[in-house]
Amino acid sequence: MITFSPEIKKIEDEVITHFLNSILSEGRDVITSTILFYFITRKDLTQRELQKLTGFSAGKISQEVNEFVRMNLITILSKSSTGEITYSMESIESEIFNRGINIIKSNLKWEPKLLEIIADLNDNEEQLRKLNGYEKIKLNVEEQLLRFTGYKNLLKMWNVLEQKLEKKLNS
Amino acid sequence: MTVSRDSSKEHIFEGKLKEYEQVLVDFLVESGRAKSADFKLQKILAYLSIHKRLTQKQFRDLTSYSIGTISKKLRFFIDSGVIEKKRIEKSNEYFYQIDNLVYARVGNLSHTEFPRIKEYISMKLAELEIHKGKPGHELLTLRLNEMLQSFDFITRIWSEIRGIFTR
Repeated sequence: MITFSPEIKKIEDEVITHFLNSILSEGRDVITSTILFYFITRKDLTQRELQKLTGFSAGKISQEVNEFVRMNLITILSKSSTGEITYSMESIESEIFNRGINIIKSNLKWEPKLLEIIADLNDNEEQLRKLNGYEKIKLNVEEQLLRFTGYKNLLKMWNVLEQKLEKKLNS
Repeated sequence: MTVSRDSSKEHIFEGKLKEYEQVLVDFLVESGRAKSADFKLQKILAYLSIHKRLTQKQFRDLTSYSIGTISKKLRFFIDSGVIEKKRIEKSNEYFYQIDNLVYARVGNLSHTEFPRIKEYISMKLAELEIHKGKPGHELLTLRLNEMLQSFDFITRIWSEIRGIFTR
């Protein structure tokens, strides 16, 4: 990790604080956001370096970093002779991209199950209507399925953008 | 604004519908996980998405979270403008519901907030130039410039996503 001069470190700290108080952090845990923002500013980091920058526990950092790797937001860049791993957020656009793709794919995975539910609610309406909750469940499942159409269109758009992004990164 | 009192067990679903409710909650929570959202926040939002409106006690029955935790999480959503708090008629109790315009408002927020963030980053890049040559200058400048460029992409995607949720 490059050691930033005090002046540069101060600017970095101000940027991260600003991001943490902005729409960029909404709905996200402060630890998750902080680690994400350090990858944005520093690109390559080990877990030990993250601990030094953030003051978070080793356990929490390990948990968050592994989740970021699972979601393809960061990759494993290298492993030292002592086994220490350096992680990298190569491209910020790729990170946003991969996060978006993860959200859409994660949602679409549920489509078959929700279609099964709506079929059951329709086929067995007479019996199921007698139970408390029928209308609310049906309405919510229908709302989600309607959104899936939008997600699929978004995925098509995303695939086109992904190809453009790949060309840009490889050029 | 006040409304009529809700039936006390309306929020407890029965039989198969209870199982289907759990499927929906699991789906909505996993969707939140993909966005790195806080688990408890996401679970509370999931139940509200299904039931449309709930009191704190009803949230407690459904989630098993303490009233203190529920109150704190709901406060977050109220402050973010995601949910509204309304009084139940002739009582001191309140119910909570998702604001239907939230996605339109969040979408509009991106039109006001993103330019502000871009402006802030541009200001910081100008500050960085004063310290050219110092350790970290090159890397931080590169990364902030990249972030600036990515905003056009984010804004476009955000508009699409907002469209999905406001249809």
